[in-house]
Amino acid sequence: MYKDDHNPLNRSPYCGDPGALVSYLYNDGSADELAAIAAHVHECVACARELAALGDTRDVLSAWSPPQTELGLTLSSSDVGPVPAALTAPVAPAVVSGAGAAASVPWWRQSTPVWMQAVAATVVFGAGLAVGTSDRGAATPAAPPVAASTPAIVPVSRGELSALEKSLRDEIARLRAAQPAEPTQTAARTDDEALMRRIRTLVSESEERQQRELALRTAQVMRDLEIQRKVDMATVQQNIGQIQGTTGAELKQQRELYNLLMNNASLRRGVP
Amino acid sequence: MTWTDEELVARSRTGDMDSFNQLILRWERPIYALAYRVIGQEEDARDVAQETFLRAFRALPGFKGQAKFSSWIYRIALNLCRDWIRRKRRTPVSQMPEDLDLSELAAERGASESVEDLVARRELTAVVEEAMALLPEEQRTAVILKEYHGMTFQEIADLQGCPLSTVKTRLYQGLSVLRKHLRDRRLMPTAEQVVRVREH
Repeated sequence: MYKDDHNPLNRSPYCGDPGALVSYLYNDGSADELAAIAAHVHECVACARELAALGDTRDVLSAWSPPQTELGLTLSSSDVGPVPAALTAPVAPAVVSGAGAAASVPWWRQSTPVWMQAVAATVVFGAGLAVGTSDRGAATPAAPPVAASTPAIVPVSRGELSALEKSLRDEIARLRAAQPAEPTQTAARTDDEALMRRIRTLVSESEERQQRELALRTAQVMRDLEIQRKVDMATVQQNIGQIQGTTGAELKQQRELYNLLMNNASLRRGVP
Repeated sequence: MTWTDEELVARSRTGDMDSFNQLILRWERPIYALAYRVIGQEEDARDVAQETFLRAFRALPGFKGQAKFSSWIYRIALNLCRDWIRRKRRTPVSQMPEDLDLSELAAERGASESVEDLVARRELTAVVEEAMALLPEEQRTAVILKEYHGMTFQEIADLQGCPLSTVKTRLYQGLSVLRKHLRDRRLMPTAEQVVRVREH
């Protein structure tokens, strides 16, 4: 806790209260409370000092930032795995899923599956074939026109029906096998996008490396220059010191010599 | 057109990955910054951020909009950070190397920033990270959420599941510890020095 130099006679409930100090520091509180704290801080030196110190701490903290790395966080369908059932978009109920699913949508609005379309096409073809056969059969001009217009029912054997069923099933299987092409195309597009992103990332990383290299060289040169400058300055100072030392010694010698000469001259003249 | 968080969440709930990726783009930097400051490891912070969004997407069916999306995703991130700390069973440490990496140094340098200023800033960052690592997890989280993410005391209390007064106490104690460490490292003047300057 901070120094206990708050005035004990100060009856403000906010004096020395950590909660009040941080509320005021961050300006987070009710308007009345902040105003009361502000009034107290204005009068209390200790609280004002404490707030200033906390503010200085915040100033230093503001300089801390995380590395500015490229994040590029994205989610793809392969990341999330099976998409939660609640998130899947409702699809049109297929007829094959049973009557229950189709009950909610009128039958005439339901999408027709492929196999049904194939059956319908075969029936129409068969009907047309029967009509054509009956027309060829009724080739004599004496036949009444009414009889020619009514198609004769051609008996179809069980084997022909089985062969028809088999060909329809083969057709359905072939169509179903062809369907997965769409997701493959989608996956291919996704791969292309991922590849482009990767290429862009590699290019930017290469540029950053080159910039870093250049800045590194510059920083090294500057550092070398600074070191050399300091060495040179130290050498100069040392030389100056030596010169000063030498000069001083010589001056001292000359002064001593001069004093000696003066003394000798005085002695010869008989002056004490 | 700029979609709000709520609109993007609603579109994401129908399985629209693009909408969710827009949310990620909007919130990846703050979540990464939070994770980095809490756990102190760059790569692990990135993993935590990725996992946060993955869990958020999977939990979307249960998110009914009862809270802000940002609060919700912050909660997920903080829980993951807490799990990381417990799993590692150590307090986060700064990853500043003892010797300055000049290549990283040069990469960070601004256009008008001298090398000396850059070195000073890196050293300051190292000391701050060192100081943050000294704090208990709750105090560090409270300081980070308030100082760097601008949350209110009430929002922090909701995230940490504690009373408002506890958040304020944690903040005060955290700032006090940080202040002492910064003063010991001579990044801030001592109280005596401040008094002397003021007296003069």
